[in-house]
Amino acid sequence: MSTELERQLRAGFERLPKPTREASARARSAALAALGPNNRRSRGGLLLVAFAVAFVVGAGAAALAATGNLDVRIGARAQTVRPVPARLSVPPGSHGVAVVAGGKLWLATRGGLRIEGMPVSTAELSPRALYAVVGIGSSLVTLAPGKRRPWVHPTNGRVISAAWSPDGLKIAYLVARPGADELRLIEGDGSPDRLLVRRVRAVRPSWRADSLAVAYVDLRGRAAVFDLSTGLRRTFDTRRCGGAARDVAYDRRAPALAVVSAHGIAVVRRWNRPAACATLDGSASPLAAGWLERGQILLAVNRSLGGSLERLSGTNLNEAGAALGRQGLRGLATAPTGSSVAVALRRSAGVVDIAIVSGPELGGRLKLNRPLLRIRTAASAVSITWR
Amino acid sequence: MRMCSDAKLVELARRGSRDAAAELFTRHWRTAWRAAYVVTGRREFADDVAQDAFERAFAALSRFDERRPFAPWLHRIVVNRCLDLLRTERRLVAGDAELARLEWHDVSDGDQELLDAVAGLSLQRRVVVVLRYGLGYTPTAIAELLGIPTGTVNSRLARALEELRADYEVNDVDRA
Repeated sequence: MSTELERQLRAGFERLPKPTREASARARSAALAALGPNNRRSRGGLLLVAFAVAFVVGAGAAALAATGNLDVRIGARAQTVRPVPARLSVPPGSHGVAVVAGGKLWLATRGGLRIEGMPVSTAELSPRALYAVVGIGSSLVTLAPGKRRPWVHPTNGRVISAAWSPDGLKIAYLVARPGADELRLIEGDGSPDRLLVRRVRAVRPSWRADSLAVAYVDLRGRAAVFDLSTGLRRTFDTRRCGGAARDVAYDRRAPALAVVSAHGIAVVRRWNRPAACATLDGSASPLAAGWLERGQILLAVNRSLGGSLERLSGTNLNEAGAALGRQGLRGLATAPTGSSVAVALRRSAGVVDIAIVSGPELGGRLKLNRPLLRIRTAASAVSITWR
Repeated sequence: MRMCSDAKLVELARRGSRDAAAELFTRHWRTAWRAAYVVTGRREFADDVAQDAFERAFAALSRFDERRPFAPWLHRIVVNRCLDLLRTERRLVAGDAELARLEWHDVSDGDQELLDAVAGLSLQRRVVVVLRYGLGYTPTAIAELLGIPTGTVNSRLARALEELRADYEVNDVDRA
């Protein structure tokens, strides 16, 4: 028997709002793109295609065999390839993505902010992607959709990089100065700006999860942390782990700091304990590190034969998985949840794909699962922010 | 295409007909989105979840059992995606007021109260309520769709209605 409440529920669901036209159009095109190529052609058509392919391959093979250059590879069936969008798309469950390559910015947020190809020196999204902070020449600028108030802060040098604190209240940024760069701090609303450290390397700072400390690389190539609650600086010499630091990354959920060097990685969990250290072979050149769920670290590494994502776990940084690809990596970002990874991967000369990849399994192949954007750039490093 | 059954459209889409796939999308998009909207409580999540569910469904169309109806299969994917998303978000921002707040911007006051009451249900109960009263499935069909016994569906529905009755009718008294 249907009660009054059940009737109200049915009627209430009937009156629910509709999806927006934009969301419907976007979903329709994504769904149809996921359909993949037609793989059920008529038998006659298939025979005709097979005959034509056999003829062309046979003729080509005969010609190549005659020259002694024949190299035939037979593998598994070709995988369905999703088309790479020309416009940056926001992955499901995320607030926004920003990509900086070759001095240009591509940005898309769930709130409706979209930028394509804007000249900037750096860019970073706020934690919920409500704002973006960008470096334009000697100014630090925030951008926001709708009625939120943007601001412009003039600096005394070119803005090299910026990092928004996890609580969204502060921005640490680097300014290029003659001789060495400066690490500075500004509130999220653009008021007081102060100098934190005078001489640092041009490495993007990284915030501790509690927003009370920021990691950077000092002029001697050591990882260092500025504690905002005490005003103290601590340095940690990780150069024995493969040389000078070139990237620092705090775990989003714990006070553990990964320090990437020229040929290795160190993880500092406690300042009064030795850092865990993993060094790589001489041909390996680590690019960046990100934190996954359960305290695992993902290291992007380039070698002469291609790029790889290496998953490290445990206090001794044991290798838990690795995905290898033929193309070089240009950038890395982990999802806000740490459950997946976005990479910038060189596709061909001057072309880079930004895409989400599957979790690296031991001996697996680096597969692009969900393409986000394809850009033309010759940049060797691509910065990705994923919120 | 509009005269074709879902089964025929699935068959055509599997053969590569984009028109058939587009018709399937048109038929089921709004209900899938609305289900996602009520379960997740946010437009942006509903956009993501429903889009992702369609992408997954279309990508897996070749593995779909043609003898079974399309809609329950799609709705199962929607529900699973909603649950995945909400669990992930909850883990990421536990107690975050911004996420906890629901956004029934464009519904009438009466419906808003009802939806608030539905949103206050546990995820498991909310899902069965949406499937029963939003999408019109019978308890047996819900049980099959979620892979749980019919008795469990009935008890979740009964408890959900009891909870809603207490919550919504108290609000009703307040309004009066």
